[in-house]
Order: sequence, then structure tokens, then C-alpha cells
Amino acid sequence: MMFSVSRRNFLVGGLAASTGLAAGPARASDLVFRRSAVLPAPARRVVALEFLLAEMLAAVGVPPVGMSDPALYPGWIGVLSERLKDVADVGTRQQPSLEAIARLKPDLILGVSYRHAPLFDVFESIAPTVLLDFAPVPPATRLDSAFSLQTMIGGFVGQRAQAERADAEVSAGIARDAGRLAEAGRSGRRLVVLQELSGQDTYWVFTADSLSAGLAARLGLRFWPPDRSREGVRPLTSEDLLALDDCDVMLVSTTGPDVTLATKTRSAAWQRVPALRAGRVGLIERNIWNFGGPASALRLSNRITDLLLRAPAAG
Amino acid sequence: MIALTVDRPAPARASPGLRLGLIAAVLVALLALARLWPTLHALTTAHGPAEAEAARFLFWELRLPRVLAGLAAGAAFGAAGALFQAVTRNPIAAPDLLGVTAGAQVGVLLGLTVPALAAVSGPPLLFLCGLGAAALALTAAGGWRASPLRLLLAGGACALLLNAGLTVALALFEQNIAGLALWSGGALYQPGAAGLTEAALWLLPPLVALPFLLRGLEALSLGDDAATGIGVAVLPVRFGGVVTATALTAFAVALAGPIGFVGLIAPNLLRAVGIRRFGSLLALSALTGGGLLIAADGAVAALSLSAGLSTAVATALVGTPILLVLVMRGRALTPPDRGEVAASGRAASLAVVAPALLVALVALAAFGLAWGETWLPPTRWIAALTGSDPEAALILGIRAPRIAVAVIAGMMLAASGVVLQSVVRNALAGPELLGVTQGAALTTLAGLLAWPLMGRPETFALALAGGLATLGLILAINRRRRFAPLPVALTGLAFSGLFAALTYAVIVETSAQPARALIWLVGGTYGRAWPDAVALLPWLLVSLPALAFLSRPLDLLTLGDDAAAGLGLDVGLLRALALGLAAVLASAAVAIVGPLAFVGLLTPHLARLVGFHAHGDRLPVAMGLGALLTVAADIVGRGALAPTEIPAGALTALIGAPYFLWLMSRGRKGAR
Repeated sequence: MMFSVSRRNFLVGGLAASTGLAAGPARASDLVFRRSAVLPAPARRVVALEFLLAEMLAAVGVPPVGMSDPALYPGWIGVLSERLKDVADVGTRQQPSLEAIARLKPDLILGVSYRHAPLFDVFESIAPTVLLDFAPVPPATRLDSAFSLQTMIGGFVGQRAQAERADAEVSAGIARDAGRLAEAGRSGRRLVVLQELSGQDTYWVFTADSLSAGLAARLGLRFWPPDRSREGVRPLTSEDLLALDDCDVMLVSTTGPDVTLATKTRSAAWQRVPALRAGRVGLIERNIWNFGGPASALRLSNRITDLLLRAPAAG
Repeated sequence: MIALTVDRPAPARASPGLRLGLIAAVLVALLALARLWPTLHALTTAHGPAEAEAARFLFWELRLPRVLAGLAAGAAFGAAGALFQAVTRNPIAAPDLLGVTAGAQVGVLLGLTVPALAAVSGPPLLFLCGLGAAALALTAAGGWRASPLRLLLAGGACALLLNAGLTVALALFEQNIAGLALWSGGALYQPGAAGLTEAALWLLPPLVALPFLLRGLEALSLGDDAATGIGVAVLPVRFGGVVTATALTAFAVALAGPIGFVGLIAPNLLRAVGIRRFGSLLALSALTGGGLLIAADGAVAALSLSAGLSTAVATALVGTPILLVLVMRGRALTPPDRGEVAASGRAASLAVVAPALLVALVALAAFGLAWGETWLPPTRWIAALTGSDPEAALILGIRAPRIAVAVIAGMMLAASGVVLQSVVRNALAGPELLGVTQGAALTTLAGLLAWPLMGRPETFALALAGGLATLGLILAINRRRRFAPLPVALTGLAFSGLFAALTYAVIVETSAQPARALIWLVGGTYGRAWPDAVALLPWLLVSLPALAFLSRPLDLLTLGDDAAAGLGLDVGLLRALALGLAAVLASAAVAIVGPLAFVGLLTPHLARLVGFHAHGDRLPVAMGLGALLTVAADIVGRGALAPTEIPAGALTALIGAPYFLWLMSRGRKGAR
């Protein structure tokens, strides 16, 4: 049995961490769920089994040789897609094809704890494997996790400097958006970000630990709701929006652009939502940037800023 | 015909139906009032025009529509359950009999992915898709001449088929799962009264049809011949009943989400307290269903503990214990189902079929080793074994254990299904029906989510513990009644509903993105390795002699309890032993491959349709078919869309169900 290190072992026995079992960067213990004892330094042929991992590899300049669902990536993340055009398809994120991965002869497999925990041994029989777990520790948000994770992945592929450059670019971009908002006097407004689901007027609202919440803080905005959740979202209905005075609502679509905001908000309850009446509901095109990396975060920041600036001035 | 609740023409005192009806009506009214009270109170005490306007909106557009939607949907589910149970003469038929929920789920997905449908998306689309699914099942069952058993089987097969298709779609486009899972927990939220008033129109046709069907359906409960004898046209009445019940179900599912469990429970509760006449049963089922649903919804809204505690979960939590208590007190006294079978006139010879199955299995396994993303001819197998082709060795190391696991698990699930259907004497029996699968799945999934690093022995122990604990509860509850088939089936069904709901709650509770758990719940052979096969094999080997030993007594049991006892059989002991064996087989299989659909439920029927009736023959044939089907599902799931993997649990149904339906329709022609 190969020796492997779990994040929980790290937390329980800090001793193990300090004796240098972790060959990766210093903050790895926050993000690694389980990893092979020996990793290539640096990795050259990486397989990425979640969208944000592929995005981060593209951002640090070493695109993966294989990734999950490459055909769906442009539609749901769509950031840095041109760097991922030629990446081999290894199946779905949940059940990637082991044969396809094996045939690529990777030197590192990157997966995520919430999908691939039971598959660690199988992956490891093909190549060294790291399963990541980026649930943020309070008061951090998923935006903080995204930055740390990208730095760490940069380390895996020997591109820490490039990763730090990419971080700085994204941070500067978000700061520019914050400046645009301040200039227009929109700082300090309250932001609510919803993800559309199926079902009548039923949504996910991104909570205080989400990437959106992290963005709001950097953009100089207040954020609602104040509570945290396990994965950055919780369910919400249009009724819950009735009591929210004076806020800007960003609705992330799950449909194509042919379904308009008016169609989505025609129920009696929506018609009474204060934000909609005040023209403060913005529709953002279909994406899962909230579950992406720093480049996704910058794209989301741009959209939110554009839509906030388009809303009527506060009365 | 008009007097829905009056039992006797000139009652000296109120009949039990009427009395119960009054009590139930008062209870439901109180429930509704309690639910509406806070908003009503706000309405009367509002200060100023703005506040009053807001309170009016809250009452008329949000709260009242939600309570009314709950009442209407619950009542429709209850009535549909009573109707289906009367038409099929099977007390465990659910409103979902013809796959309406599966159809509606397809509707949810279509509404998300086809922008052109945006205008009708929401309840209208779900209603239409639900009806469409039922039409498909009804056609497969043989249209308006369908016999009760055919309805049950074709409905079950079609629901599995649609679910399988849905699973494939979700496995490929998993970002849609979250919305679908949220809807599955119940969708009573009404963002305005408009949806409800529109949906109310769909209720009109079934409500108009019901009074005309009452007398006929009442007569049908006596049996087809008796009904014909008193001048009832059996076929039109049955068909009318099925269509009416389907329309009611589609209405309820579209309005409230898939909470059809209410409709399964309500009529059984009423039968248990002594309601017999169909008219009373129907009216009271509607009332009880409505009451149960708003009680569950009210509890969820009042507690608002967590996202996991949805209306569907609460319904199961409220309804199941009541049903169990009634079964325990021996009040569930429905007429026993004779467990008639989908007969085929033919008899086949085991000496021909068994070797043929074996050859087919070996050939299929060999093909499975060779076929996939990379074609591996037998020459490379040898090279892999001698160590000169590491790539082939790696790939064979992925393919071979999956096939081995598929063979073993397929045999175990099929054997479990054969034994259960004989003991429970119900065509719908399978490991799923007894709750054993759900019990094992619940404990395993809870364990996996709590300790993601859990190893194989722990997984196994949890699954067995869950499955056997379920069985233990069923046996304990039914011990006094010597494990009579119908109470056992009812108990099992209650548990399966409860555990399925709890599993769902656990999933939603642990993660907002249920993709990974749902794909595990479909079952499959993905990522299984040699240790899995090694862990599974002993359970099969140990059970083989037990199966051989039980096959003769199980044959006797099909003659009926009295005949079997007359031949010197200890019926109670036999049932307990057989149930135990079936539970062990199913739980062990679930531990490794998850709750694979179809194999345990329909391969026993398949063996019979091929022409095997005695257990000594039917068991090996069903097990061979189960293995064949599961291996085929494994190979197709891995290779058809490679590198995209389709869960084998979806494919067992996608492959098996159409074949099953085809065999059924052929049997029908042969019979005539």
C-alpha cells in the first residue's frame, strides 16, 4: 500500500506536516485532500478532472493534456478557452474514462475531493494523483481559495512566477472595476447574486463564503446574505426577495440568451420584488464562474460592474 | 353514485365512512387554518395602506395558493392512488404507476434545455410530459385492453426506461441535476395565484369523469367475472379509471412535484381503519392525501431546519410510521393478490437454455475485454499476461474486474428478485420493493458522504447492516402474522419510501450539488477493481446451496399457504429464511455496484416469459440473464460514447426494458 496523506491527518497531526512530508508549497495543507507521496517536479503532462483546474492550468501557461468535458467548457466557463482547444477529452467530470486517462500517459492527475475521493487508488495506479479540497475556512471566501489553489497548481507545473503574475493581473482588474464603481458613486450598495435553476422561481443564492461574496468585498460593495453555507450556495425563492429593499440583484441564467429577463420574472411574486421594480435586476449570461478560478472571477467582476453601472442611480 | 360518503340508504346512525369523513374534513380544515393563520392575522392587523396591501398580496398570492395547491395535489394523488389500486387490484400500486413522474422529470429537463419551450415551461410542460409518458406506458401495456398485471409491468418498465434515459442525459449534462433534485423534493412554492387557477382547469375532465366510473370500479373489485355478471363493461371502466387516475397524477406532479407516495399511503391507511366501499375510499383518500400533504408542507415551512428536509421527505416521515403501526396492529387487511404471472404458453428446456446462456456470457465477456476506446485483440492479452505489453495490461486491468463484478452482482440481484417475488407473491416485488436496496443504499451513502476515505470493508459492513436492519424490522413487524405476503410487501414499501426520501435528504444536506451522489445511486461498475470482485464472490458462493435447498419449498409455496402447509411445510420459517437470503444477496450487491435498477425486478419475469416456471429452473435462468444483462450494460456504458461513461444502472434499464416490453407484447399475441 502506497503511503498517502490526507488533509484530515494534517489537521490532526500537525507534526506530520512540519516534518516535510508535503513536498508541495507551504499552504498545500489547506487545499490538498489526498495526494500521492511522490509527485513529479515539475509535472508536464497533467490531466484535469474539473473545469476550474483546467482553467487554472491554462492561466499558468501549462494547459492539461487531457480534461473532463472539454466540449462543455466554452459554454459554462468560456475563459481562456483558446488555450484549451486541443486538449484531449477524458469523459465526464464525475466518471472520467480511466482508459482514456491511461492512454495519455500523464505524469499528474488533478481531481477534486467531492467527486473523486473513492477513485484515488484507481487513479494512483495510473499516475501520481492529487485530490483538491478548496472549501474556504472562515472568514475566507472561494475567491481566496481560487487564488491559493492557482498558486499551488502553478507550483506543481513549475510555473509559480507565472501564477503570481496571473494573480496580480486579476487583482488589478478587479481593482479597476472597484474604481469604476466608486467613480459612479455605486460603492457600498448591497449585492445579491442568484443562480437560476429549474422549477418555478427557485434559485440558488450565493452565500457569504462564495466567490461572489469575495468579489463584493474587493469591489467595495456590501453583500447579502450574511450567512455561510457548505458549498457557497443555498436555495431561495422569489418570496425571499420581497423583503430585500435597496439592493442590486444579479441573476445568472441557465438558459440561452433567447429567454429574456422579462420572461424569467413574469410571476406575481417577482413583479413585487423591490429590486425588479427599481430596475436593479441584471441578467448575466449562462456560466458557472462562481465555481471557477481567478480568471473566471475577473470575468464575473466585469459583468457585475457593467450591470451595476447600467442600473439607475440610487434615489 | 352521487352519495360519495354515504354507505347505507337509510342510516340509523352515521356510517363509519361518513363519520370518518367528517373527522378528516375538520382536521384538514384546521390544518389549513393553522397554516394560514399568521398571514390572516397580519391581514387584519395591518397598519396603513402600504402594509395592508403587502399583507393582502402575501395572503392571496402566496400563502393561500400554496395551501390550496398542497390540498389539491394531495387530494389528486390520494384519489389517483385509490383508482389505480382498484383498477389493478393491487394495494401497492402508486399514482406513479404509469411513469408520470419520470415523464414530468423529462419535462423539467426539456424546459431547461430547449429555449423554444420557455413559453410553456413550468407546470403546463410538466403536465403534458407526464401525460405523454403515461400514454407510452399504456400503449406498451396493450392499450385499452390491458390487464391489471400488464399495466403494472409495462408501467414499471416504462418508468425505468424513462428514468434511465434521464439518467444518461444527467450524467452527460450534470449541471442540470441541481435544479432537478431541488424539484424532486417537492415544488409547492407558488409565486402567485395564476399558476394554480390555470392548473385547476386540468382537473375538470377527471372530476367530471369520476362519478360515471364509480359503480363500475366498485364492481371491478369483485373480480372481472363478477363485474361482467352484474352488467359492468370491464374494459371501458378499467381504461376510464386508468386515464382518469393518470390525469389526476399528472396534475398533482406538475403542481407539487413528485410526492406520489401520498397517494400510495392514503388508501392503505383507510383500508386499514376499515373503509371498504370504493366510493368512500376514493373520497376519503382524496381528503387524507390533501391533509397529509399540507401537514408535511406546514411542518417543513414551520421548522425550516434545512434544505434537506423537503416536503417529499416530510411526507414520507409523516406517512410511513402511521402505515407501519397499522400493519403491525394487523389492520391492513386487503384482499391478497394472487401473484398471477405474465404467463407464456411455452415451456423451455433448461438443458438447452443454460448452456446457451453460459456460451453467450463467455462470448460477451471476451468481447468486453477486447472492445473499448482501444481495440485489444487476444494476441495482446497474451502479451499483457507475459508482461511485454504494459499498456494492454493496464487497460485489461481496468476492464476485466468490471466484467467480473458485473457477472457476480447481476446473478445476485436476479436471484434476490426471484426469491422475493415468490415469497411476497407480488409481481412488483424486487429488492427495491422490500426497502432492502434503499436501506443498504442509505447507510452506504451516508457513510461515504461522512467519511469519503471509507474503505471497502467498512462500505460492505454498512450496506449489509442497512439491508439486514431493514429486513429485521420487516420481519419483526410481521412475525405475528407469519410473514403473510401482503403485510410484508406493505411494510417493505413503507420502508423503501422512507429510506429513499431520507437518502435524498442526506444528499441535499451534505451537498448543494448532488451530481456525485445521484450517479452513485444509479449504480454501476465504473472504477470497480479486483478487490471488489473478490469481496463479492463469497456471498454468491455461500448463497448457491441455500438457493438450491429453497427452490423446491418455494415451488410448493406458490400453491398457496394452506396447500403448502398441508404438504408439511413450515410456511413462516420458509418465508423468514427466504427473505433473509434475498436481503443478504441484495445488500451485498448494493455495497459494490449500488442499487442497479431493473435486474432484480424484471429478470425473474424475463425468465418466466422465456418459459421457466419451477424455481429449480427459473433461478439459474434468471441469474444467467441477470449476469448477461449487467455485463452488457457494463460494456456498452464504457464503450458506446467513450470516453464518456454511461452509468451501467441506466443501461440495464435501457437495454432490458425494451426487450421486456417486446416479449410482453409477443406473449399477448401468442395468447390470443
